[in-house]
Amino acid sequence: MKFAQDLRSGNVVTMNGNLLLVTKAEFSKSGRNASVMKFKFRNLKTGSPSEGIYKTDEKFEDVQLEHKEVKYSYADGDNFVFMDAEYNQFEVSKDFMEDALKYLEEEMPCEIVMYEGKPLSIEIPVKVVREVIYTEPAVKGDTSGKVMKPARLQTGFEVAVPAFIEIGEKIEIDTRTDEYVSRAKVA
Amino acid sequence: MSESFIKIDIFCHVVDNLGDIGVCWRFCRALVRDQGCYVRLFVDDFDAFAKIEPMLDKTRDIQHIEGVEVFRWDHAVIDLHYNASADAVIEAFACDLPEKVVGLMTLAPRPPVWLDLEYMSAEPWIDTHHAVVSPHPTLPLTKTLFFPGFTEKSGGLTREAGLIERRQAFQADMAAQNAWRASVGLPSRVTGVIDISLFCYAVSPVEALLQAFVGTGETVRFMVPAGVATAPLTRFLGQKPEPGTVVRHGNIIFHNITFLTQDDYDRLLWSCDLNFVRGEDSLVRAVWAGNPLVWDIYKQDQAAHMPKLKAFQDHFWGGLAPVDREILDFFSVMWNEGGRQDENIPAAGLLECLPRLQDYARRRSLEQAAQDDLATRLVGFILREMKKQG
Repeated sequence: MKFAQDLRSGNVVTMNGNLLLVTKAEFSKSGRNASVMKFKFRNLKTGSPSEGIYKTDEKFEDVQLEHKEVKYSYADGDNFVFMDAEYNQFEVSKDFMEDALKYLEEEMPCEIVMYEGKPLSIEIPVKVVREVIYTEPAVKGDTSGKVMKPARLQTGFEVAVPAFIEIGEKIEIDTRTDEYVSRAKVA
Repeated sequence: MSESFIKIDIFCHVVDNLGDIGVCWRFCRALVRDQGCYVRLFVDDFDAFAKIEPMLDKTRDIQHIEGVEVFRWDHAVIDLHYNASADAVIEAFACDLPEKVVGLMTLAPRPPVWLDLEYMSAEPWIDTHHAVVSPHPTLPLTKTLFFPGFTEKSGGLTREAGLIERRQAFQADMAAQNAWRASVGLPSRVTGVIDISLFCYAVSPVEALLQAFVGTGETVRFMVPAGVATAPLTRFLGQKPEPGTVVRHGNIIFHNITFLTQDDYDRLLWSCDLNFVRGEDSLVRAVWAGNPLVWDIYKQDQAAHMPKLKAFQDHFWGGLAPVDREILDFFSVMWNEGGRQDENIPAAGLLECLPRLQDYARRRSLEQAAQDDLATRLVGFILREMKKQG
């Protein structure tokens, strides 16, 4: 069993006898420190999409599928091509990887999820480091981290970051919640 | 009155303060009075409930109050008396239902409409999350999260039938206002004197706020229900604010009153020039009061309440003149993030713009009231879902 808050794009759950692939998982903070998850699912048998809203502590029966370590290679129309260490290629349809598109960059390490021997979806790391390509100028003196502003990544996806973050800075992001974690440590 | 006579069970777990039961009780009464529903309310804290509803007999497990069948929510009562699901079962604020209740829902020939009445918010994501019928992860049931909010796409706000008309009549009738004030131990209205109701959390920077009003030199009267901000008021006044007492501190005067019923609290909000309100229920009532307000929002970890506060400010005060908005935003942030004594709090500026804020608040209140209320939307949703099930 997995809590709703731990489900991510690429996970598969069973509900009422159906196998459902999570294609999008959206985290929102509700009241009194509670949170909710909005999921988009795709039925693995029929291909039909559905959605649901759940409390983060709701329990789901997840299905363990075969995973392979791969790196993102290139886009081919509506398909995305990944490659493993032995140069085997795996194609995943755009319909099955909504959330991953927010952070997808060339050579990005991720895990491909296999279902009945076929590539189904990908799971991206829980934390990624990405460069901010645009954000409003930093606010001098505000180091509290309480005031947030949007920052655009290379993929076009926007993340809320503290007001002191500047263009060109690398930040660590929690991909489960799309939340800024910290400035990335310089190697 | 709708054509429905639907039966609704509502479960309310009191976590802290009075917000849970405050919201639920008002909502239950609206469902009975305005929608003709049969409502069973299960509450696990009769002490908290009794604070806002004096008719509650804490010694009885089951009783009828204002048409609502009220149950003490404990294991024995549920075990003995809960034998069939209603048409709809509502868990307020994501409380967990008793196992027996869920079991009966699963076994029902026609499963009830299962709802989680969520926290209210003005944030945009509410619109896309509200009323999405979702299959339960492990049970053969569906469950829907119902989000109260300020837009047409949200679950709306609790507003009883005729509330705005009653409020307008009260505000237009000074004699009625003064008579009511006398009945709860408050002074009559006086031209040129500013009346402020104060209801806030214990952590709010009360002393900084009061000091700022002392600095204005204006006569300001604070109306404070018992139990609110006792520690900072005691420090500020040098004595404990006992109900029924009046304490003067320079140009500001404190009228300490008993904790009010919901209907009386409405009248307090209607008859003050400015309302400091806290939590969900009193914010909504202050919106319907049509008077200027400053919201003390429930504090969450990682300052998660601040985007919610900003969303409300943007939604409700979005059309205000920038100079007035700046002052109001200052108070909003100061009140919720904490203020310091040495901060230059623009209390005089706030008092100066009160008439403009009142005009604006009256208009926004009416605009908001043009939408369907929470009970109407919820009953409509339940009826649609019941129809789908045949």
